[in-house]
Amino acid sequence: MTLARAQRGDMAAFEEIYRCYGRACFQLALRLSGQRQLAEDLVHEAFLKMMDTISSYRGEAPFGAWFKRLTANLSIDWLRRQRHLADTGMEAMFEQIAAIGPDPAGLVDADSLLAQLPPRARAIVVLHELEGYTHAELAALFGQSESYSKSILARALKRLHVLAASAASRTQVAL
Amino acid sequence: MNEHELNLRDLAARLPASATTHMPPADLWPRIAATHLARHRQRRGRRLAIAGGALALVAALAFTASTWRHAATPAIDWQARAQALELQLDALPTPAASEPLARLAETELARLDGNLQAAYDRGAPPRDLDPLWQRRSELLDALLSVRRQGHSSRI
Repeated sequence: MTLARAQRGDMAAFEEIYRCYGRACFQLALRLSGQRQLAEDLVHEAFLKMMDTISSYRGEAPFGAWFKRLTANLSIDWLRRQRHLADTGMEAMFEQIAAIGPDPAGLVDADSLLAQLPPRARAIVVLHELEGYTHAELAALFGQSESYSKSILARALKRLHVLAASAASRTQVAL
Repeated sequence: MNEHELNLRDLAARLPASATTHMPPADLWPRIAATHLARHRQRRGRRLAIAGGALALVAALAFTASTWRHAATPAIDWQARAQALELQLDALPTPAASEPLARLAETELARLDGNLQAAYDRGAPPRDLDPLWQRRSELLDALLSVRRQGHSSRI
């Protein structure tokens, strides 16, 4: 049993866990941070923390979910330390989108659209839509009310659809 | 479009697959493993240092306690030893004439008993009495040895 071996500190078991969860962990860190180098650092820290704390894992949740939550929490902590999650007003937050602007390469996949959202809005979309966090959990994570989290999610998704439509029309014009 | 109908999965389904690569770099695991092992070694070193320090402290405390106990209680030991030797001496037959060495020891014992009595009379503390009892014990030991030799040579 890989987990039991890992809980005894077996490095080969840790490597198996990396092979199973490393990519998913990296994807999540990349979506939350929006920067590849930073995502690598976050995955690095997440695995070190997992290796230090796996002995306390009791199987209350599936291991993958437990580990992804650990990665998400580390990523949010990092964003908070960098003041990317400072509590600016909602209007000010979404005005940042215009400042960031569309991807110059004209990419229109979901990840490139996500990258155009401000950090807090992007984190809420990723955690709610892809990782299954509830609004209650997001409210606790960001120290805000559930209605605040719901408002940001709704506005962020609407903005993503507008950005997608805009990117699609630009592509058609180019053709 | 109604806001409630919006979700990321529907949006992503209508968009091309992600053009960016989401694979972590190939050397990420070796870096993680190296950092983990280095931290593990550091922690083990710290634990060993702490354990060594604790062991040294326990040894020092044990030594101090033993020294203190030893230093605090010898008077009782010497006094008890002197009394035990005296009983052994009384059990031997009294010699007709004392050997010169035995006479010396008896003289010294008489002088020492005077000192001991004087010390008790003036209420001397144990640290002043201890050396006197130790000396008495040594003299009785010597006297016992001489008497035993004399007794066995007569046999």
